[in-house]
Amino acid sequence: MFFEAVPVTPETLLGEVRRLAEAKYRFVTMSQTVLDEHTLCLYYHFDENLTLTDLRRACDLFPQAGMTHLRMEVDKDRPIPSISSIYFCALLIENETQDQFGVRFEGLPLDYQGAMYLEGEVARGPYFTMTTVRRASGEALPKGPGGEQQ
Amino acid sequence: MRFVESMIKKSRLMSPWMIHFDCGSCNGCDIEVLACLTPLYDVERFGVVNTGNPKHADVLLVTGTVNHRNRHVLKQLYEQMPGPKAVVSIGACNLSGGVFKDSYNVLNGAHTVIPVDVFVPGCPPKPEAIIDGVITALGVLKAKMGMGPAPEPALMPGDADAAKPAAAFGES
Amino acid sequence: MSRTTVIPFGPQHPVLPEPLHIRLVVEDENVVQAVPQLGFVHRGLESLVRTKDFNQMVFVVERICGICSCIHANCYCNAIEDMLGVTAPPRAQFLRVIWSELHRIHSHLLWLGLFADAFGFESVFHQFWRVREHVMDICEATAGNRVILSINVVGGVRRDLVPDQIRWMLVQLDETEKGIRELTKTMLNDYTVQERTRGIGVLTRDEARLLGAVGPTLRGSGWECDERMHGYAAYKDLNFVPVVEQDGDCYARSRVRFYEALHSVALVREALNRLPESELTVKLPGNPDGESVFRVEQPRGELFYYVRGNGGKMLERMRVRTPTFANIPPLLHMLPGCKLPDVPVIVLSIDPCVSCTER
Repeated sequence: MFFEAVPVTPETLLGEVRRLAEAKYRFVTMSQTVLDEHTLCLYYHFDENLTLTDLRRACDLFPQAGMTHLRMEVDKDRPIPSISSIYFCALLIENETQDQFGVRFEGLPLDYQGAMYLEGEVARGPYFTMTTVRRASGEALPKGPGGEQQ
Repeated sequence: MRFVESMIKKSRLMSPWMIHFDCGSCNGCDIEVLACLTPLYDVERFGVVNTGNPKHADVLLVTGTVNHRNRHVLKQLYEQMPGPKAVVSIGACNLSGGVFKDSYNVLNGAHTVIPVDVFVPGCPPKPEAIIDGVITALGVLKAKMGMGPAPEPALMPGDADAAKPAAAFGES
Repeated sequence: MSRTTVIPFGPQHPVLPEPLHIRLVVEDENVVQAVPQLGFVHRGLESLVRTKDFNQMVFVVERICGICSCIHANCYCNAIEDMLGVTAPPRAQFLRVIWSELHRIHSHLLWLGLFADAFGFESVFHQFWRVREHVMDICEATAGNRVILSINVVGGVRRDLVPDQIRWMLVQLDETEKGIRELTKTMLNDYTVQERTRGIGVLTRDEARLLGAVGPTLRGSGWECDERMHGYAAYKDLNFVPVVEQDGDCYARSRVRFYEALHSVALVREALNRLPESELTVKLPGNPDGESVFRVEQPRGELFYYVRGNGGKMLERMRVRTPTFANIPPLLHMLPGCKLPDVPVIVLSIDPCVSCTER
């Protein structure tokens, strides 16, 4: 489903998330996309559907009803406000983003410093710097963040 | 004294204890290894007991992709096992990286970290194939104790073609 | 004066089939803090979207988790189909439900067995795995492989069921149901089982929502929340009712899984009896372009896919939020305050699937 996302900025993010938390939304997850060399696009997905509604009859109209999405574009080098103070469960996903994209989150209660998944052998931020490691052929593939775009 | 020694060796072969370490598999191979222990396949009829302690184990079953973090654990486990020991590598990911080979965090298989004696291919291999691999590993163990010849390497159909010199790789 | 000690739990631990490492800070016998360390199973497979085209990615997402591979592929295919603007034919939708529910049955039986093993009931472990082999037989006979079925493709399914197979499957399902029902008394009513699981690892209703729990962990705490209620694939045509328990402890979660396994048997039976006639695949109109999200219900909870295409054969980004990833914060909340011998039971009660979590 093509989804609609509410645009937010790092300044308004926490207020918006707090509003959703008060409205008893459940934090689903965060998705990250690289837009260009310096910009990362973050989506925050929330779900309000924790009630007794059976959506089967309306599913053709609203296939993923009940979800709210926030969209935020951030600079890779600037620290990003963490929402773990509001939703503790955002902790793991924010640490994962630190690992994979080499960004920094501010105010994490448990900070793995970008080493939650990765050991030192892997270069920081594998999704920004490179996408694959080709071993046998040895040819260095200079790939931009857009990947193999035709 | 020699009698006691040979008795110990014989009894070790009659009841090999195995330890299973999942490096980073998708669980497919793990549940097949566990299925070997359950009533339908019942590997215990060969005297094989699953243990969680590397110091008690004779055979190491490895499944899953080896990555930069768990290769240290794998190496440690292997070093803690008392010799002679045999290693069975299970599943496509553990043999070569499988579908994940192109990823940034995946090594080319367990044999790059520890010496592997038996390879069981498949994604995932059936429990019958895993039991067969364990039994083959017992032959290896026997040879390592100096009680018999090493088992012949079994070639799969197509292995003879694949054993070309490395330069020929990637051209076809 | 009490002293604190740090006890490592895992990565190689007898009750865990997978490497999960938790550092437990204990004060005498009481756990005061739990810190997870992940990354032993991290394969970085989200980066593979750049090297494999969107049809090949189906095989990669199936290998995120071997226990629920069919459901991963189902979710991924649905997300891509949404982006392409096509819908799989009705028969394909029903077949997807059948194989997904078979995976749910075998996953729940597997978990019930492992859970019994965790509190030291090894014969029940063997009994559940014996029953589970019926389901594995069905998978092998219909899809060709016991674990990773590879029946989903973008736009439909790859294999069909013939009437003879359906008749045989119904007989096997009866056997499965009989086997599960025989174990009801042992698993749910036994005094020792209740002693080990009741009142342990309690997650209240509000905590479950705040900590983002999903699946049986959430339903065990009283929320009637199941993605199948959204009616993706053929669930809108089937008689589906979510299983909910109120207590929020380990016993409630095992009850949810037990009755879900039975309910899934009924769902497969219903889908088999009402299988419509149609094509198996639709033709795809081109390459995916745009962004899409999709959620389905896995045995462990809600599975979330975000995909982004750019009109080329390769996707630009794929992100997977698996249920165990969402269930780890509730686990970290449940562990402090419990006794050390209860740790394996609590860890297993969220049904941790580490290969899902770290991908």
